[in-house]
Amino acid sequence: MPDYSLLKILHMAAATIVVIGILLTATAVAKPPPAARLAALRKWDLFVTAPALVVLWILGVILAIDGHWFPSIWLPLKLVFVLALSALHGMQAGALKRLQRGQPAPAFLRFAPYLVIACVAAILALVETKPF
Amino acid sequence: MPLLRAVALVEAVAFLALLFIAVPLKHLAGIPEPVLVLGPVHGIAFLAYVWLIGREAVERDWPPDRALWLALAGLIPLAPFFIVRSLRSE
Repeated sequence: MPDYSLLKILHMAAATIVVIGILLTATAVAKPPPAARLAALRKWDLFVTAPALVVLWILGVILAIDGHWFPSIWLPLKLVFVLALSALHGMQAGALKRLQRGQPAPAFLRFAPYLVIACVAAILALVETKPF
Repeated sequence: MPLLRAVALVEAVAFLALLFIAVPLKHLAGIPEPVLVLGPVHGIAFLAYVWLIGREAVERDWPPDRALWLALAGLIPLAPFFIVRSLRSE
């Protein structure tokens, strides 16, 4: 098993890529860009953000097992926010496909950046303080 | 939706194996290894399942309550098998 600190660094790097990807996509969903930029963004989402999300999930599980965090209450709480972010990214991926077909994206996705910031803040607070 | 169906199937099988094989092995026979393997498999499969529900819901304009019920069904043993069947008919 690789060093816990190394896994943590990789986990945080993947998380950074995912958060940047979700925020980038959120701007496109709020105000659709020209077709070429939309295609590039969808490629980025498919080949960078989505794989980073999978890496994030896998490393998160390994870290939780390695650190013996599963009995702690903060971890399932954190997972609720991880689940929300994952679902949001899934919805954004669907919205990008719609935009490429010339269909509008759902209006509620305009609020995605605020939801992302709230979820990331909650995750960081739980991870840093490990309150219970 | 072949990917959603495949992930729902993996999630359902991992959940059943976790509940009815791994957990009894851990608590009745003192063998924790299957839980250590199937727990993460089920967890990651569930995250992927919810991600795919989100994608399909927006792409295909599903009503929000349908998406929510399908996502929550992933937490009920056996339910994803019925989901796979219903999605196949679409």
